[in-house]
Amino acid sequence: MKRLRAFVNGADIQRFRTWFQLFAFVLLVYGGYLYIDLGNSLPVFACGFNDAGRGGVCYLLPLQHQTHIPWESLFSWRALGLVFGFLTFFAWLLVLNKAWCGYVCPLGTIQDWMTALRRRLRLRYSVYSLESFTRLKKVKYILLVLLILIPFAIGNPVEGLPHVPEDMATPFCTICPARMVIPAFTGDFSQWTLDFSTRTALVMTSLGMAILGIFFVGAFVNKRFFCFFCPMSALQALFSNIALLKLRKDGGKCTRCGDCYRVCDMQIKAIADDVERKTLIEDDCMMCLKCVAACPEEGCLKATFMGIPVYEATEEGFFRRLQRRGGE
Amino acid sequence: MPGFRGTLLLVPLLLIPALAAATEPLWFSDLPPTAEWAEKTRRAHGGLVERGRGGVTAKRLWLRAGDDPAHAAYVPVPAGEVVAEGPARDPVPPKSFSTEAGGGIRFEIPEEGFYNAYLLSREVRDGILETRVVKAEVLMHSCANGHDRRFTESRMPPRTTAGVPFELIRERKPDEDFHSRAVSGEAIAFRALHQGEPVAGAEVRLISNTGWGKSVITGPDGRAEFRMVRDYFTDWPEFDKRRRQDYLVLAEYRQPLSGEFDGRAYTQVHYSASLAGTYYPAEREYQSYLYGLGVMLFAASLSVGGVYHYRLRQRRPERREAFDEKA
Amino acid sequence: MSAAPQGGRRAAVLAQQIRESAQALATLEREFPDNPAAMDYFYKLFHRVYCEGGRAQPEGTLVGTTCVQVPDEIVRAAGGIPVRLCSGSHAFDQAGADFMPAKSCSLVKATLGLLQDERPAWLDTLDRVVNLTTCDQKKKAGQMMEELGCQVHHLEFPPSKESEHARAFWRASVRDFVRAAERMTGGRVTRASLRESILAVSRAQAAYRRLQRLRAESPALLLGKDAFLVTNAYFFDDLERWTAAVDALVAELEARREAGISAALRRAPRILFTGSPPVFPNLKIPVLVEQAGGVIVADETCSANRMLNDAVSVDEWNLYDMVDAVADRYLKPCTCPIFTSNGDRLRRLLDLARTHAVDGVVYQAFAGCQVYEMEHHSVSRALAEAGLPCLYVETDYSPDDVGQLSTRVEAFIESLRSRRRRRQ
Repeated sequence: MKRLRAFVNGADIQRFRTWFQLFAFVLLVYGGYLYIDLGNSLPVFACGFNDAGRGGVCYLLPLQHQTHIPWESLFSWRALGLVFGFLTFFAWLLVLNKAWCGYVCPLGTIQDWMTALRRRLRLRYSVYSLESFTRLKKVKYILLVLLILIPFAIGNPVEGLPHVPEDMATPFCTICPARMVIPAFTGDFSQWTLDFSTRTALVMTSLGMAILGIFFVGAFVNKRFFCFFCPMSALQALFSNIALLKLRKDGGKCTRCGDCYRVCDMQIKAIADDVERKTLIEDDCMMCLKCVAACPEEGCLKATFMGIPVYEATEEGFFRRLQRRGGE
Repeated sequence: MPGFRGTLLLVPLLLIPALAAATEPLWFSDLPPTAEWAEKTRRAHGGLVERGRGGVTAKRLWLRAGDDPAHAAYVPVPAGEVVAEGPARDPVPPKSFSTEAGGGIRFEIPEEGFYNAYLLSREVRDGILETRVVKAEVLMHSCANGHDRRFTESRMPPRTTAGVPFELIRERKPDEDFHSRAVSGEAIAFRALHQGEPVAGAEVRLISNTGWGKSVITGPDGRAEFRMVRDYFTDWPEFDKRRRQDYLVLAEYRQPLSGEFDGRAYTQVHYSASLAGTYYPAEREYQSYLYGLGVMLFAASLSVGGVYHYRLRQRRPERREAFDEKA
Repeated sequence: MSAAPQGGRRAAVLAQQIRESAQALATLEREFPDNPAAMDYFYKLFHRVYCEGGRAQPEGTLVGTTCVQVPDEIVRAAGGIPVRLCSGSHAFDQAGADFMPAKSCSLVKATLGLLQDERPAWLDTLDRVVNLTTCDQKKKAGQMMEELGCQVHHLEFPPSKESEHARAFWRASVRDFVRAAERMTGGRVTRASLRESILAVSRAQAAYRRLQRLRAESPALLLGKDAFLVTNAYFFDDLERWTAAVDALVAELEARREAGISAALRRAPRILFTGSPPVFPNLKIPVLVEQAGGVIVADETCSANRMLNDAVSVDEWNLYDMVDAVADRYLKPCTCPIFTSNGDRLRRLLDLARTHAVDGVVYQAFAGCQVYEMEHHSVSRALAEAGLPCLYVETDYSPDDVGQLSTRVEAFIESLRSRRRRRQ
């Protein structure tokens, strides 16, 4: 048991993660061809617009459909759809917590591939300054609130106020870059268009294509660019402290060397500076566990599942990984 | 009378409308005749549906006469047999109805898949046995039931019903699913079947919403392929990408055969079948790849420029503030 | 300065330095029984270098550094050999008194004394120095070093490490230092060379950490006087050779552990040493502590733990990330008292005390060291809250106070022993 622990703690989790992400990508983007269907409540961007190959659907799409109901329906049997969809989502989330983002999400995987390309081209990455970081953090919450309220507003027009057009029924999906990028992997480029049929559709699809352009550049220069603005991340953050997979820190052992902050794709400073809290899952965190791999202090950072440590920072593991990765 | 399979429902003959209806093509449509009837319907993937007993979905098909889909009259149901079959080949009992606005049939569609409904009538006139088949292929799909690919594939293929002497089926496109719709500009193909087998020499005519029509004589495979026209032109601000248009497919086939029906002799059988459907504007009419790509590249180049400019600025040393002493 | 009378005086200083080194080594080697065989390498090294005038390094450009926070990896990547100039020699301390006020840090005085005129043998070609602007005295000594004929690069260290601009400032400082190091050595920092040096230093650090983990065992396997000698050797020894020697020591200590041979009695009080760094040959206090029967199992000083403990972590092995990674490692975890707050130092002390089962703390402050003396206030309070007795010793390099200090140290060790007995 001890040897197994030592082996896992000394392992290069980045390599494991690369392979796992590839497996999850194939499963979620091409699984449909093998009739795999993991349901409509997945906590990752397994895009529902990928008709041909999808192995499951991102929860945000049914969520936008399900909130597109008149408020009276909230008290009817139709609300059960909303409740069950949410409970399924919650059950998935409970198990892997935000590791869905770091290990499974196809859009996240695509961004990691772009980062690998940039690294090979030896181009410097971009980071946010602390002020920009603090200001932009709120965007994902705004997007989450809007994607729930706008469809609801369409279903419940208010007297005297202008009606929200039907073309905004899935407001987030229209602007989400995954809608264009993921179906492209099965040869479907039909989402890469501007819809001129109504003014709303034109504005929304233009916004979507513009965001796609920004996404390509942003994800190239910044590590996990989109994840900072992701409403799925915001939704998961609401429950991340309850889930079974947790990231724990022993503040007494921390030397605040900042190695974990250095390697964090999401620029989370609290992982390095906070020595008070025991569980440290910030709302941006995608639980890639790079911080645990980069911590040289024995037992300082660890990922636990139901309290049992599954991946722990060890001195030996750190130095072994350093020698191995530097040797590459 | 030679028997037909399925539930036999006799409806009292209404002579004059029936006679008038006897010569004009008859077809089923789910488009309600008045606003009052339209209020009872709601939009679903298969067209307009109504709410049945206990929350089950029901389909009301109106009988229309005429070969102009936009202006055909709503007529009451004439003499004939009404049959319907569910997606699992289970018999479904349709009920005829007759109102001031028009007549038709109504049945419940609880299961996912395609329902086939027929109005069959036979009559000997001038020594010819006129056999008419009015067919409707109704799709039932609710997204709440999920999108299991295997299930969809099993319920997709068009079916013929035993006992129906002559009918049309619409061929499916490859990778067609319950969300697919016919659109202008795309190919649409039908097969004429006699006693369940493809028949050559049938005249199949497709009529679009504005009355444009094209005829094709089927070959040995019974196929008639058309390209749906684009005939929805309007000022751009009024353009509705969800605008529903109806098409009508009529097929006729003559077979020299002698016999007797209902006490009268005939020397030829004249089969006529109808099948109606809906089509929508093609995405190509209002979506642009070029503009989409253009916007994306524009945004991307602005971003690249922004990042490059920012990094360039970082390299240059701080510029010193110069104070203007004169002020 | 005219050569002849100074030359004679200088020769006397160098001779005195050799004498005190030999004396210190003799104490370290012979007054304690049963030294590990692997320590012979270190005794011989010091003897050869400090007493016989031999060189420790292969040929190359020596670059002197005055603080552990100067990024060694960058100096190595540029092709230079970093040598720590902080001196523990009383002879140099007295020589350096010419430059500095009476009440000032012995270590800085000794460093200046070292650089005055003729260098000691193992630093004979040294004239390039990187001076980090840490505490007041060290900072101002930089200019004096220039006057002594050295080519000095003043590497700017931020006065605080909490804020984002301090981090940015230090990163910019280190990036400039890359160019300065290249100018000093005439070499080039390339991706390959920086990667090599990061990995080489990291191997040395791994070896040190293995050693430190063994020191947490009870009964103690290694005396503090030996541990300090090992880390002091890092100042000037060849990196690969030092790493191999430490690995050999670790292997021997592990074998000793299996065989049940310990360096001190089980009931010997375990001490955490902190404060101004004990630099060879000034291992006065550690020797006193261990002569009194205590054993130093851990330390929080910049001649040992602080120099070697924190590791560089690189995310992308390209220059843009490696240089920043090196910079971050030298600032963020630093527990030097020159910063605005010392929360990290307190936590480090408590963590070391806990993991090494420490009984008491010895806090050494050099007379004249403002920052260490001021920090004693908060450190003693934190230690008191944790229930750890602390002995505060204010001293300098002169051997005059040994008698008085040994009384105090012995009393302290005795009180720790009785405390232990009472608890059992």
